[in-house]
Amino acid sequence: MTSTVTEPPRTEPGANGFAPPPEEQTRRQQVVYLLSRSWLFLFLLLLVLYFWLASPPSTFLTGSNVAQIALTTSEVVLLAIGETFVITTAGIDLSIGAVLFFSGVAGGEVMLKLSGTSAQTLAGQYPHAWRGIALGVVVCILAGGAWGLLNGLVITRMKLPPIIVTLGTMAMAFGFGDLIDGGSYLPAPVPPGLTHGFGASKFLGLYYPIWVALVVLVVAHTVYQHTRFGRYTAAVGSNEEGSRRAGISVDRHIVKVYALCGLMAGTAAVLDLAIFTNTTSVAHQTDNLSAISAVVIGGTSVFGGFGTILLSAVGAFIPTVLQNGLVIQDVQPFWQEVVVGATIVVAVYIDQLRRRRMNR
Amino acid sequence: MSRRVLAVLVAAAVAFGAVAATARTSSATPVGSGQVKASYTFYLVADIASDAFYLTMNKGAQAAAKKLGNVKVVFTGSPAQFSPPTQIPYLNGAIARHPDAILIAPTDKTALIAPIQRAVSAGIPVVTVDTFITKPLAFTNVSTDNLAGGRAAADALVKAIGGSGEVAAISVNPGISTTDQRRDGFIQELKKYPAVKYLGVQYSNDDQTKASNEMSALIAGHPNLKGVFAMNVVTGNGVTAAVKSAGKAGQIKLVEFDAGPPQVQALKEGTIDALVAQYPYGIGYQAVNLAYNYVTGHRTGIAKHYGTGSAVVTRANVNTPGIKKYLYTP
Amino acid sequence: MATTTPLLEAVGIQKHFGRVVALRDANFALERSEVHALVGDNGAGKSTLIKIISGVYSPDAGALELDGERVTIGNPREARELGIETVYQDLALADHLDAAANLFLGRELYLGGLLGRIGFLDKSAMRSRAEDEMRRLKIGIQSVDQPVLGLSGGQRQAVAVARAIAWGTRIVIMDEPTAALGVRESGMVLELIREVRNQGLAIIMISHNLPEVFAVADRITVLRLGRTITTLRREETTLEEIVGMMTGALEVAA
Repeated sequence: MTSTVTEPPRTEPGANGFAPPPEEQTRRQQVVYLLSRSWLFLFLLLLVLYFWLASPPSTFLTGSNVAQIALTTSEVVLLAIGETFVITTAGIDLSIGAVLFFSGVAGGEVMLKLSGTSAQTLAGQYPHAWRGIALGVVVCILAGGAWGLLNGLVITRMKLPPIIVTLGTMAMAFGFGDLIDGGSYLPAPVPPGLTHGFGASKFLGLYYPIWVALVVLVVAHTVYQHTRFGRYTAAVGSNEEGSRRAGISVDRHIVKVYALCGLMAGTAAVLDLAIFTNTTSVAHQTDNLSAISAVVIGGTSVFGGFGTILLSAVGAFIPTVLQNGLVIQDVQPFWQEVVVGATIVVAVYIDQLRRRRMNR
Repeated sequence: MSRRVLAVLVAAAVAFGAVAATARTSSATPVGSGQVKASYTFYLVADIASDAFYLTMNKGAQAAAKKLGNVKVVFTGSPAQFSPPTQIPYLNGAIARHPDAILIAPTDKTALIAPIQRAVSAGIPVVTVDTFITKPLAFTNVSTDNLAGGRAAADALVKAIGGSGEVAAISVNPGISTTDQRRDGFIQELKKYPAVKYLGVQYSNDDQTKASNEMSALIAGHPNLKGVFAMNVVTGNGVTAAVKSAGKAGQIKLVEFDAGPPQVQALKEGTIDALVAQYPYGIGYQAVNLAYNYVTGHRTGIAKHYGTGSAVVTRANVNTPGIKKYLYTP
Repeated sequence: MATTTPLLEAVGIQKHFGRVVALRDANFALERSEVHALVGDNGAGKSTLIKIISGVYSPDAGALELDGERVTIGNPREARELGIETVYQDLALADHLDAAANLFLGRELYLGGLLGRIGFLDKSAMRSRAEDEMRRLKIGIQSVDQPVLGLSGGQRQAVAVARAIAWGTRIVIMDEPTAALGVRESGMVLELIREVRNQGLAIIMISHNLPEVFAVADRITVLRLGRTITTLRREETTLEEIVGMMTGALEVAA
């Protein structure tokens, strides 16, 4: 019996149809790729340039103003880092602001209780401040990690969508936090060792909280780009089933990612107490939005897979630079909100255009 | 994004910036003590920029500036939230502009210490208005005598409920100096009325919905509740709504702090029985004048604190000219 | 005619799910270095047989022998350890990762020393090894650093195949390899399959595309209603004959 179908012609080895295109096209593609990835940096630079020129001399680009912008953004950077990992796995964590608040309350209460009797702390005395601060910081971070762990376990064991689960933990964390401190502030501000000595103090010209954010940023970036943890995060987000088939323990990894996000929130809580001396739930209602906006502006797709840490950090700066610049420009407070919101929309739109261009 | 598009954007940014820079008229420069300048700029940083109280304060400030002739007052503050993290960026922006003075209503008595310290260290004198901080960094404070206001509220509420019965109070957050003082004055004055039973104070977090829920819970839990004291506008709004929806308008007597337009309306309708009106217009007016004296070198004789009065507004006196000036008109 | 033991032999396989009988008597023998097509109409049992060989299911009756030795394949990992890899129809590629990352998914290379132990990847080693694999299969991809999302259908299939055979595999199972591809790309994939066979592996290919089966397969096994009808060498049969056996129109002498 002869075959009724002719075989496709055999071509020379190396050129069986998968041959690579000419060299110059590859290089141009590389340049376009690089430019499109760094457009966000350029956008931020443009903003800074504009405000520098448009504001009166020595107002916007002064060392102290820049330091203040960085200080106010340091918390959001930490939250955005945690959220980047989560969003890369095609999940989302709406509870980070609430977890930050709860961790601040829990850690703050520990700090106060261990620093002295309530009579003493109410009067501003903190005889055992260092003991209180040390343990309080640990409690902050662990409390955040615990909530993150809870998120991860419920999502993977009960197989519920992350948006629903984290909405629930958000309500619970706010609720528990309010329960502990009676619905408002901590009874007294945290010891000055933390606030004055850390939150408002500088090391080599930068405030300590900024150093914390920088160090965490570098470590997180390295982990994301160069370790198994980062790669599995991207793999799970890109193809969960495929990752499972490749032998990756997907559920275990997802739990780790949410726990990491919680740890970031706990660390941000330490910075929050250090900078603002106290905490209240009102101040953290929209933290999740700030963090997620930073990640989205930075270009991490909310559909998972693709993302980088550094760009999320840049994304965190855009609203704060905008707000600071607009205040210096004497723009009406109500207009500022409009502008910040519009900028987020524009940034996301440009990102979408860039993606479509890349995928042809 | 092609290189050409990039170049256009950079050029646009530079162009806009340059135009804006040249369009700028006055630039604020640090003032030496005793020198009189051609013009002064003060920044007024509110607790929350959408509140009728602060908008009225700004009106008073603008009026004083106009009268002085060479003073400009810039009003700023978060329109959305009453909290240190939302207020501090606005304060930072004001500090960066290096005005001749900053008038600020701090959202927390300790959280704002470090930022205000920075302003003072940068050579910007600070006046605290309405609320205060626990460190004496401001050269003066202008605020309502909230203790007296709380006492007046107690008197008005007891009168409204007929001298005896159960009363409760809803405040904002412990830690806010003003509402804490109102609460303390209220509780202090109630001691004079043995026939009145005080059920305690709750906190609304400056959240209308929370205040409303707390009020509903109070009504449900205490059927004999006769009177409530709500210590600021947002809290008052929530309380009024809850009373209305429980169908108890008129039965539960309400005394509220602050006299914004919705409060005055409610007073006239009968849902609220008395308002304790502060004098934000006066606070703003006086604060600007004090700042002007300070920056023009007339510093002797400036006291550490100036108390402005409050007035009890009832249906009976709401239209009299003496009371009318106290009402908040944003 | 080969008289050596087949590389893989399935004898008398039975499998049912509840009351549905997927396989009632399936037999299958795979030689080394051959492309063996498994054809049959829908419901014939091809997928079930494949899944038994790759460890997803366990047979209710019958035996599997690898190199003449009886084996039980309890789960996909055991199959992989025995050198049996599957390329699924959906390819199971992580689209946003590059070809090198996909190749090493789950089996990453780590840096030496302490860094490696805490999880640092040796990306340059993976990249060069990936390039070697691609070259071995004579596949050209612009760069192994690009996300595979941007590759053509045929190139993606190639990456999936490269991943399947890079790990000491002996048997590759391919489920409808050209189903989603156009004519030109399908041709490339078939060429790739031949190349894999030429390098000594055995390929089991499920396909509905009989012309392609005839283009590339060495032997063809026909299943119908859970039973093996026959196994024929490609030269010994025609497309029409195979179709007839698949549908039952042609009776086959036992």
